[in-house]
Amino acid sequence: MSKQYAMLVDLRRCVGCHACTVACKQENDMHLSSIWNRVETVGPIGVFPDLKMYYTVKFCMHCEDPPCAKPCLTEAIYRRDDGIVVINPGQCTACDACIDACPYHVLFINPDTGIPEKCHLCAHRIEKGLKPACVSPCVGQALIFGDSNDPQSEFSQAIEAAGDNAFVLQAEAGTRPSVRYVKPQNSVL
Amino acid sequence: MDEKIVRTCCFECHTKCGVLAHVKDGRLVKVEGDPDHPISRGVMCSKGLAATQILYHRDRLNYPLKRTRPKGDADPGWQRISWDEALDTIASKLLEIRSEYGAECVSFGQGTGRGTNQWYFRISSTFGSPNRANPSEQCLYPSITSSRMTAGKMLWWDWVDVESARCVVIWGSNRVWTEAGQTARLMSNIVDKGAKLIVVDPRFEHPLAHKADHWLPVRPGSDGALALAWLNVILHEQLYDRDFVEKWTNAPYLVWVDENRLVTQRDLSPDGDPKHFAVWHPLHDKAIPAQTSSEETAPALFGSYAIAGRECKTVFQLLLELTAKYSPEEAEKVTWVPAQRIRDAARMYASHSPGSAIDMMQGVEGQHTNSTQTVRALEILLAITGNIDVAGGHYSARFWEEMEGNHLAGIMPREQAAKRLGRAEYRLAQAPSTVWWQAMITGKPYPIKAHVVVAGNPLSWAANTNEVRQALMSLEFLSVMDYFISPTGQLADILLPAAHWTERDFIADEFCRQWYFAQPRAVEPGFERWSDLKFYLELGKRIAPEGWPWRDVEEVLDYQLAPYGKTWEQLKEQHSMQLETPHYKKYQKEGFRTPSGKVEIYSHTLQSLGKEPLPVYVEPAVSPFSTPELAQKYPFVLTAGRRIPVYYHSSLRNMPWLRQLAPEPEVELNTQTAKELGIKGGAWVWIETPTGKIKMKAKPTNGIHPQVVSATHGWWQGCPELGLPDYPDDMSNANVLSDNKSYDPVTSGPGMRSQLCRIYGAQEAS
Repeated sequence: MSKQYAMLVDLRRCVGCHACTVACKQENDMHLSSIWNRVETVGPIGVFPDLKMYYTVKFCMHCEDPPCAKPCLTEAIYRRDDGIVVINPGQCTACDACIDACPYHVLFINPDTGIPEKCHLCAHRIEKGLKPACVSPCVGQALIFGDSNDPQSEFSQAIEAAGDNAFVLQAEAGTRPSVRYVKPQNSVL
Repeated sequence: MDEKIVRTCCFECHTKCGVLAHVKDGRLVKVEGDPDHPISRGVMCSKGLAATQILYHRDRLNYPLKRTRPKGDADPGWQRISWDEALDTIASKLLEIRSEYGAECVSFGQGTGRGTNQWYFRISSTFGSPNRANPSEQCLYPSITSSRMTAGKMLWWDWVDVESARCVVIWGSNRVWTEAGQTARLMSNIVDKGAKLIVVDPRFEHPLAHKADHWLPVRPGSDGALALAWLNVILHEQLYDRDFVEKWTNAPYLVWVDENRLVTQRDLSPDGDPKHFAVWHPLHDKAIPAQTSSEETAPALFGSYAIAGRECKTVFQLLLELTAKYSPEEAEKVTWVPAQRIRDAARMYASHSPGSAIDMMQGVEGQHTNSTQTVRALEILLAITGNIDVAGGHYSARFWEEMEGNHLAGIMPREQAAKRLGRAEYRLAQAPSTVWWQAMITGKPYPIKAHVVVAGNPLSWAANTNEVRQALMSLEFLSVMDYFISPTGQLADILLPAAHWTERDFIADEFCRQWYFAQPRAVEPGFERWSDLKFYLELGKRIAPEGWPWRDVEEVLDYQLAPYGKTWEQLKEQHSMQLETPHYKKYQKEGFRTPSGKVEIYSHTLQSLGKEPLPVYVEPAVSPFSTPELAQKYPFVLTAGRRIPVYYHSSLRNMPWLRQLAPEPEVELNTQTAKELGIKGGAWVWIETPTGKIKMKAKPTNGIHPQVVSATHGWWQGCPELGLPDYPDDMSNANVLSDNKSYDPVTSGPGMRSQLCRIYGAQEAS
């Protein structure tokens, strides 16, 4: 069976420190204005001192049915056999159609080239047997990478342990993301 | 192509996370966490991960520079000079001042430093100046000083065992952001092992508050009252470790009520030892000598007794009486924390002890005018619950006993030590920073004429920036060594280029638990950048050669390692060495290095200095309760200096990768408060205290008390890549607001985190 790379973001463990964002910046050649992997704060909601909030991390969801690929007339965006959704800049016509097609807003136009760019799960690292650059610096070990086809992978084990607390972002969009999340403590979700 | 990976340690902060530095053709191309580092285990933070941007930033200082135009001129006319010229100029100035006025008229400065404390101490000791102008009083010294008084050892910081505690208390600390590598398994402990989590912090947007079992939004500066309320619950519900309290604290010691001092054995009989103390023997119903052995019959823990008609009480009785005023309900009025949360948290902490850890840092220590006693209260709390020297509690690493030892820090001549500014009032810790600034400005009690700074920017770190600026302008001579030209550097006569941590050979020693790590350079130093240690060595050779007998940095490092039978080459080869095998309950063999040999709930040291021997709560110098009239005009409690995960103090605002994640100087205030004041999110607002006023951008949040305002610090630098300008003239410098008049009476911390302010839209500026 082919590998299907995926990431689990355990929101119980994210402390909003931005290490993943900067690790990604360092690893990948991107325009300064692009943030392939960004941390957001949701909340606080409620009335002081009874409050809830959590941090979340947003990056390409590596959808099984990637909506960004649909409007691409030159097939510059495609899903590889291993589940990673990539952009081939050589084939891109810089039409921008992919940008708005993504419901997660995780594609960025490089203003110097006009070409979109985004997280590719550090495909160049995975090919060397390494994990994406954002994974290892995480102080909360909130990012869990692995092969979702391998029941023994860290990813699969963590998904199983999370049970009903695992979810995908905007499931209603029907994109079947490979990136999943675990609900935070005191969930406001 | 020449490629290598250098195993080293980071120094974007003191944590020293293990790093694998990737170097191609002599150029640093990437850093990543070292998964085999025993503390950080692969973790790195955003600051460390920006190393390549910092190392190769175009604005780095690359050569020694000297000023050619007058101080205060917009253009200093920097002119490149050689290191020899720079060192000769500094040395001749310092020697001239020493021979004409005395060594004490030179002060040596640093900010947080770059891990070079011992060498910084050494340059001033060997030169003979007792004046070390640095922010230790608002940093680690209150906890070092306090825990030495209480337990004769360091109870805080690098070995607060949050990674295996059964209950973790984060109290005025934010290390998952500020010292991530030290908390590499904290979240695992909470999520996987189910450790309880309590967060005491005014801000709900603290990264752990929303994950906590209990969040206690304490009014800034009232932490001492909150700690007494925990003690109240623990004493009344008898949740303390009775065995430890009886055997290993001075809780049963008797105190004369009239004199408020410990009953000594001399008091009991004329030939008794005045350095030993007394307890009450309940069976014989009389005072007997307290034994330092743990074999004694259990003495009375509580009670009031009479010795020859004179009333005395046990220390524990006095503690009980002190805490009686701080029931959770009473404490709610003072701390603004709901009583039930106080009670629940105290019970949770105590019921998971031993094995509960309190991670306390600058939110509590050093930046309130009452912080020493707050730290003391927390130390008593962790002691009586049996959390000293246990797994999941508070362990003391050997390094803290050695850092200031003469071996490294050098010997300050006695007569020079006696001249330390402010020594009369502050015997245990350095004096408030204003003593140096005033000596520079007024020449009283004697002048400070020259200031030599390495890794420090007092125009950002010290209270009352206006006073500091005036002081630096008054100096005859100022030299500053740093990565970039800071506002302090702008006033220098000589600027020196510091090597980045990836460009220097050094030993990671402080804050490394039981280890030393090699921190070898990954690349050759660029241009003419030197390590801070190399500067100290070369300056030392010129101004105090007998104290600096080494040829080069490697010999200095060898000297540091000699007691362990190692050389720098060997340490570099093996990367780490273990100084000790941790073993718990060391006190059972060694006792505690305090006057009584026990944990001193009642501090003999403080009592003999005329300070409060018990952790009495005193309101901050300014507060709605201590200065209600001032609070009419300045109705909000201001805490300044909350951390931003991508910056280290006042540095790194010029790094685009980091700056884009936290672009603006923000001040948090409650959403409802903002609405009432007509303040919109993102709008510039004035924050004003009796000392000064600054502008920041408003960030309304539900996560803060309606009467509390939280400002960030360290803003001076722009980031042209992102179109963000400098903040000139201290426009957003939080320490413009800080008062330089009121300080902690023991460890001299200023009240940066417990001020009073008003806040209003910047359109009302005129």
